[in-house]
Amino acid sequence: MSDEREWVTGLRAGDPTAFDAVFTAYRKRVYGYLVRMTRRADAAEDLLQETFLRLSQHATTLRDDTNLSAWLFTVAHRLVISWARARQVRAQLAGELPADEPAGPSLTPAEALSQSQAQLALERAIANLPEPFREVILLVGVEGMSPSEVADILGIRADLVRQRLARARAQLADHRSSP
Amino acid sequence: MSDDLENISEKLVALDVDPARAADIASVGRRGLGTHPPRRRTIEAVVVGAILLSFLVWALWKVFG
Repeated sequence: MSDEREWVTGLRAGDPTAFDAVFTAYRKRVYGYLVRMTRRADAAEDLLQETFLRLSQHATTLRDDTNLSAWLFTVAHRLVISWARARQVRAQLAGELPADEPAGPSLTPAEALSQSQAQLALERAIANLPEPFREVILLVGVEGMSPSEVADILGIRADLVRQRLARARAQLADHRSSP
Repeated sequence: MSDDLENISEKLVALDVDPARAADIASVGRRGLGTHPPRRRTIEAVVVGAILLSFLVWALWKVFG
């Protein structure tokens, strides 16, 4: 039996070691996605906690063939949407930020940790992508998922994922080539 | 995957949550095992459904009654 199957079986049985194994295996991947989507470390930590809390709360109802990666990224994606909406409403009520705030001159957590100019340029280019493009780049390019898997996670058609991916790649290339 | 996306994850910064915070999150998750999410959403859905249904019944009664 594969690790993933064993973990799902353990989770269904309420086994804490199975939860720890899944947390260890997916923590960095989900956190990386959340940091790059929210561009804030504190928000990413809160959403990471919520993602894994939901996994533990739904553990006993998981299906045997659950794809944990897809499950976790689906939850993380939905949490990011809720977080962004709540933030937008708060900002509009306070009359502070524009509805779609661009990446400002301050460094995102990923940019701040960059160790070379090339890494900084890539992180900045990703941070500057519009949110729908950024998430397909992260899920396809970083997580190595197929457009159809990403379509299931985002709740959209696979051809729309391919379309967004093509536009994201073009914008990424533009950002990276500009000084 | 096309060339420009290949190995992109290796070119990005390796991100990880602070170890102490990771331990907290794992602990919260372990404690949550076997519990169920708050019933609030289910209750909200039932209440909204009941309101919509009663409105529909009232509208049908007004039209055909």
